[in-house]
Amino acid sequence: MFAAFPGWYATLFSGFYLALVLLLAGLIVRGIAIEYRDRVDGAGWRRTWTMLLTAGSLTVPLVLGIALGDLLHGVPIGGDQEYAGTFADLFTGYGVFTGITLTVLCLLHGATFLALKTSGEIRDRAHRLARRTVLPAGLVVLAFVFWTRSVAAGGILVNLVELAAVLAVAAAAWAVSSGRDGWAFSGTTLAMAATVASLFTELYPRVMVSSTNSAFDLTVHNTASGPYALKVMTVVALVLLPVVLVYQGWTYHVFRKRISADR
Amino acid sequence: MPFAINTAGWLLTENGRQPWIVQGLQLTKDGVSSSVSTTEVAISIVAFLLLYAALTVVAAVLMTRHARKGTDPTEQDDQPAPEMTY
Repeated sequence: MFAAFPGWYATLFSGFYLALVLLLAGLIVRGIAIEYRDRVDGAGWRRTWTMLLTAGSLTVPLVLGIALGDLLHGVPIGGDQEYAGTFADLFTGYGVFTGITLTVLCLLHGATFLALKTSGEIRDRAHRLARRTVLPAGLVVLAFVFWTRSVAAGGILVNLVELAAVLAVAAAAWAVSSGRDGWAFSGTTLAMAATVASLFTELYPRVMVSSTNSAFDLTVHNTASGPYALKVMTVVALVLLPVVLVYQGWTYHVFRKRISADR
Repeated sequence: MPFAINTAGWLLTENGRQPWIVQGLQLTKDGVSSSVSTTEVAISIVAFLLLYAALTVVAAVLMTRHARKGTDPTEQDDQPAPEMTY
């Protein structure tokens, strides 16, 4: 984004400045909490870090979701491609709902992941959480898809990606209720990917909508780098992306077994 | 010491390059984002300052505790390395 669409990057990161500071703080607190939670024996210490871990982990999908929703909903952007709104302008109804959608999906996804990866009491609790969240998640995704259609003024007929999001969360609901951990996790993975992807399919070829004037919309054309930079980027991505995917896949393969609570 | 030297090196390059943000190509004053206000920048600096100050205190406390415990040979050697349980 930084190298391929500098115009988009500049407007987004300047306009969403405070929101992204919050996102970064959430990511820092979350990462640190996982590391420190176990360092001192004591209920108070543990409770504090559990609280911070939860707060940080909730902040991340919520802020990301609001930011993603705002891309499609539109924020004040002038003819000079500069963000012209305030921090409060970022809290659009659709943006906030996108944030809620992503947060609920993350909760469900975390529950299905834990159910797949753990055993004993933690696994039972993850199962219970998944069963409780899967219906709300399904309803939220369904509402999100139709709201997305209406924001994009695309009519009632959903596109394939949006259909995939709805079907995936329905499949996850079936798998959760029948206790199939692997299928449940696959379902929530696909639901998450398709939900985010559906936003971008509605956006294309725009990348950031201007609520001031549709003539000021940022698109893949008016924010892209020069052809040479794009060519270099494509080659780099084609070479490096498979490497990243392979080592990510490898780490999951190494830690593929279930873990148990007793050490 | 490594932390201090690392940070000092960074400060040196950033300050030494001024007034350029990209040496010979773009001045720092031309690279300022017009839609980010001074207040917003101040908020972010204070927020990160507080966050890192808090984390520094926590890290210092943990390191001190760890160092105080010392290395108790009986505790260290007799215990086998914790094994991964699946």
